[in-house]
Amino acid sequence: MISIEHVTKRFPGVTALCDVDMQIAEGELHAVVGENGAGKSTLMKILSGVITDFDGRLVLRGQAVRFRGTRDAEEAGISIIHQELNLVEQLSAAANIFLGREKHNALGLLDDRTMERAARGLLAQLECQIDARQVVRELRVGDQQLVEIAKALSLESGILIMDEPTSALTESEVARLYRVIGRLRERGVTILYISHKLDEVFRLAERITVLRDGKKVKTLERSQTNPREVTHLMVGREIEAVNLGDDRRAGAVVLEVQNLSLPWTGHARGWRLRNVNFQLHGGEILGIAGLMGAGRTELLECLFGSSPETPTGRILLEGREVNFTHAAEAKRAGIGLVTEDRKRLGLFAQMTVEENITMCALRDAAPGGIVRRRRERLLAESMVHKLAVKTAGVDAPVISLSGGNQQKAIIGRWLLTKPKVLLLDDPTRGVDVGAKAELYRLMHQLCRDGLGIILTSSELPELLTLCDRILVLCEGRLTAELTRHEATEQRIMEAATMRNDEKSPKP
Amino acid sequence: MHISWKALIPAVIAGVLAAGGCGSNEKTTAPRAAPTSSGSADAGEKRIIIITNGDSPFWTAARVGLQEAEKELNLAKSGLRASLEINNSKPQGQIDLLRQYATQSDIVGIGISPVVADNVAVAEEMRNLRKKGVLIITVDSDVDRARFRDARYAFIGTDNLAGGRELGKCALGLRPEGGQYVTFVGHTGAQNALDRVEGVRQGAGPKFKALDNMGDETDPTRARDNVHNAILNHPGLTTLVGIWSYNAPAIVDVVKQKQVRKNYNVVVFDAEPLAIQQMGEGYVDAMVVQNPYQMGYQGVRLLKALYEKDQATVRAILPNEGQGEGDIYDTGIKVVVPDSGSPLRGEMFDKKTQFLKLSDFREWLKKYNLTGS
Amino acid sequence: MSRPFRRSEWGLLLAILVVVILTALLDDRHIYWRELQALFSGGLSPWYERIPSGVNIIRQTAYLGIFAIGAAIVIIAGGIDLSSGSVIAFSGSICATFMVLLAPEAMKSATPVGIPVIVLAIACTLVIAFLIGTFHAWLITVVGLPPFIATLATLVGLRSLARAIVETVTAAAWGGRSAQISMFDSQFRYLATSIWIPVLLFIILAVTAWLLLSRTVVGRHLYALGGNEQATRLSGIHTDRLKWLAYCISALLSAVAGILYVGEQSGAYPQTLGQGYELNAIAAAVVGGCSLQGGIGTIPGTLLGVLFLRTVIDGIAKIIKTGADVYEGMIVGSVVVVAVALTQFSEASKRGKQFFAGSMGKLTMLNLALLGVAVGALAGLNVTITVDNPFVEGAPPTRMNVATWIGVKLLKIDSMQTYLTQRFKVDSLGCYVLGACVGAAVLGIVFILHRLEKRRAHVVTKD
Repeated sequence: MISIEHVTKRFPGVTALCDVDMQIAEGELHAVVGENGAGKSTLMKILSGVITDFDGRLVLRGQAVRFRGTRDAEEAGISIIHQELNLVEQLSAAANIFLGREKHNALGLLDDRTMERAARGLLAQLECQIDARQVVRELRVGDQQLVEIAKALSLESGILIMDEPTSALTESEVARLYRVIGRLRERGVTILYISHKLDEVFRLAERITVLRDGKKVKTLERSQTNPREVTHLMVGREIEAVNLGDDRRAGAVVLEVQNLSLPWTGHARGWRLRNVNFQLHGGEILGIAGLMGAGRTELLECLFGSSPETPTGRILLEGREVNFTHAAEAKRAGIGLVTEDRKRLGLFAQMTVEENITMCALRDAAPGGIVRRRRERLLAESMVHKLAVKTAGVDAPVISLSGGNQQKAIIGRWLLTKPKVLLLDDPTRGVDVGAKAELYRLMHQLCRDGLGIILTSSELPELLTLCDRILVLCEGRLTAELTRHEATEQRIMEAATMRNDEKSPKP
Repeated sequence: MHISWKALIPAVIAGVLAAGGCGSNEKTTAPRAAPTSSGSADAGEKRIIIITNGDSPFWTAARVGLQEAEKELNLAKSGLRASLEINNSKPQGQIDLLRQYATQSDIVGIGISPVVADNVAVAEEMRNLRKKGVLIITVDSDVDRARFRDARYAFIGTDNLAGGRELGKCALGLRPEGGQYVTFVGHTGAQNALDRVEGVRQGAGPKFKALDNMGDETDPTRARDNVHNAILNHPGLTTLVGIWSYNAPAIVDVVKQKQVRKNYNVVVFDAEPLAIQQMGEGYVDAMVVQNPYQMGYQGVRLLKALYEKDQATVRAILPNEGQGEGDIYDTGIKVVVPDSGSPLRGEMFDKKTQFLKLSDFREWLKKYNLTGS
Repeated sequence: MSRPFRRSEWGLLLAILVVVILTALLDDRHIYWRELQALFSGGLSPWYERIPSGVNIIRQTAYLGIFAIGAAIVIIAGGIDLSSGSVIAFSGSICATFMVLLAPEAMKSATPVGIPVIVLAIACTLVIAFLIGTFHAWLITVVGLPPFIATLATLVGLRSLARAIVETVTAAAWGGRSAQISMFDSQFRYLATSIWIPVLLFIILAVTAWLLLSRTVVGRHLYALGGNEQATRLSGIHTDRLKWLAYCISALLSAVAGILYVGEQSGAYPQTLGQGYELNAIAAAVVGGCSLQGGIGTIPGTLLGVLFLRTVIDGIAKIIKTGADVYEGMIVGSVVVVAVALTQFSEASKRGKQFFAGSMGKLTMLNLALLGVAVGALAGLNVTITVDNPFVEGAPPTRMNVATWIGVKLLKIDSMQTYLTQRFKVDSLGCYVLGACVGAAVLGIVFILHRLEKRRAHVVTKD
């Protein structure tokens, strides 16, 4: 039904796609996998009309098409659900669903009631409980995603592209999404599914296309392959299962948290965090698991002093009580935070790799306040070397790096501050498989050197691989503390979804 | 942008030198004007410029005078051209203009109406130009004569002190029992403003009390606001006195709007077209009218005469040159009153002042092809 | 950060050269050329008296440059300062006010006030400027106002406060209310009128600012702040203190400019001093490569932007001899738009963006053509050329409006009498023709551009 023929797309400095040929059959669920930078997003943008200037041909239902914009693609029946959701946060769900195709009544005024009714119908089909009039900003990510899908449904698209749809969903939401996908397929909708997660891919897809470095490697029938082979095709090499942590020994207690509570003004629950107690030893990786909204990021913010509300309780760093009101104090004391959402909160997009890496520790290269170029370069290059950051040079713009390398650069930034404790908030989000493995190895190495790491992640396998101990948060409370040997996905999930009246299981 | 900029620069510099080379040959003109010229050794015309203080219809009459002088005195034959340069009401504007003119060699004479009388910077620029041989006079408003008399050759304009006195006499004549007045002006620091306000005080005499002197920096909206506020703030106010030309219509507008005509006497300086019409409608009691036409005309005439070293004409304009006030040419004032109903008589005023009824004044305007003065 | 913009700085340098050449060509007095000759020919007068235009441009650049640096620093840090002009007025007025308070008789009678008074007045003014900058920073970081609003408030408020202060102080000290304070003191004025001091001051301030931004930790942090405020904060940098620094620098530099302007104009005129200057400063910064979103821009670029603007303005004054300020606004406005659009242009064209597509594009083509017609007609009646006298054989050349000349040639008018009786018709015809030609030329150019962009995007309608 869709034929992608000899498509090539060049950006200044990099070829994103090189002579890609692909066929997608009508009604199938076709998965597209590949590392970051393999070209999946670019290909999907071409298909959905976001990129209009490329070489090659698109053939839709036997006719060559040329999209001048997303409108043309929509009219041809193609919609895309981006990984970064494309909703207008200030508008309601119904308004978003009908954005650009608002219905009016006879007088030409907006017909909100009809739109809301239609929206309600669509959302019901998707098992979504929200009120169609609710402002999108207040919705959970899972619900926001369903609003996007509802939008695609209202367009009656025959072809739906889903880009990493489950990256921000809870388990139950993922299950719901699978059901929705099932229903879409019953209606004959063709789905292009982009994902890193091979278990999903192998669960849902009929055929799998692997992209690597802008080229199509192979299209496989799902029944005729296995995850290992696919991973191999994606990275071009074998990824051995990394079993880290056996030779790590935890040292002295470097961070202790007593009765930490963070108020939540204006919310029913009243607290983002309630009575959290734990310890972190030097040389160990402590993982924090929990559903979205459980308070993981907030906990890290409290430790780093960047929380908008002041927490109560005690935090002791190396035995001394600390009271950070600004990230600068935390940095000086030896705590670093690698934030989630590096694009918004971490990167200086207009600066070079060097400038990004040296940002926190610039004074080390600047006696008397004047930056010495050579010292700065040495600092940056030392990090690039140590962390094996793949870059065209420290002078390259930081946006030319892949996601994984950007993350490494930011970690390098904090390593230069010689921290005692490193906080990592979902560090492997949007990072491809190969780079993930490198990051794991890096964290392991840092711990061997004595650094204490607190790690947040939504990917349970990751936590199980990396962490010496795992804390589980549920709605702001610490519901479980599991050692490496005790932890299983099942137990973590149970602790993460426990309700207040249930007792926490004994570790 | 793949062009190598650095390679272009020497080419460009060569171009500049070549272009300049064209200009050094005085026999040809710049490439853009196709026809050739056969000028004298120092090609091109010379310019005489009159710089105003700001923009107002007052200067329209001056411009007519300037253009008439240009024609009648046949400036073109002497290779001269005259033009009016409207300033933006700021002293900085005049400083910038004078500096810009200092760089241009084709300017031989400048007449300027300084925005602020005691501004040292303007006086210094004027002196600077005089040192370079440019002829400088002041028109309409002079520099502070105590300090900067030497910055200009002569002053052509109204004896503003006398004019103010006549205006004061108008106020007195309309209300012999005395009263209270407010003066409205543009820049309170301009010499003509200072002189006129002082003259009004003298002419009106001890029976009148000056309540306020309100400046509006030539902003017509503020001019109206000032009148409005004066009426509100001073219940004992009897007379509204306009000092600069556009203050007249400003006063009348507010008086009309508030319908308080019978409460106030309105005496003004200058006769803008609008003010003339308003006197015809009965809203203005008396006008002291300057002669901006003559300022423009005589200004050009004097500068031309000085340039051509025409001693006869210079002496005709400034007969007492060298003595006391001999560097001042008085362009004269008129007092204009409505055709009927005015208690003012010609005898009340100085003999040099011309006393006219409105219709006669209108005849005079028509003779000179003016709409205002 | 600073590296990618070398290109646009070279471009600006070239643009300045182009403007100078254009002025040299179009100015039939060849003033630039003459000054160049005078400079090299030697002579008795000091060299700077031989190039008055050059000195003018340099001085104006120094004055504008001083506070344009402040504007650039604030823009690079991600904010904006609309109050520069009012701070100039306020600080100039405050300086004069202090001098009146300290030496009322001397100021009134135009006798020298003495160096200590001057120094004290200037010092107090700078302290007050620091407080103004602090106030801005407080409004923005603590109260949380957007910078646009906070500096807009001071834009309006400070000038009014200055006027009130001047009137009250002059009433108290001199017994008569005055809306301005005249500055006679020659020592104070020397600061501004000497050729060297403003330029030297400007160079020192520019070099210091450049070093600060490009070589110090604080400078790097300012760029980071402008580029991504959240990330900067989360990197453990005190963003509030950085903003305080930026706004204080801007206020201080505006104050320095204000003090100089009062000396230059020999008076503090709070109503009119510096009106609109903030926009010149921002325009210079933007033309010089600063992005209003923050994080991008350099001091050398800003300086080139200032020099460019002043060269354009001087060129306009040379070419349009009288009434130049009537056209100045239009020309400077278009120049700024073109300069910034050009920097966007290379970005946009790479992405395949079309400037004249769709119905808005067609309307814009029409718009620009009409502008061309208007400009052509205006030019026709205001630009004069020297031509052979068309009415009398062998008579010396005369000056004539371009429109008149065209009309006379087209209608074959051969005598002055005929011309005078049909003056309006002849001039109008010339205008129409000229307007039509310029409009057609603009339309042609724009149409060609449109076709070129269309071809690049090779759009084929969907089947």
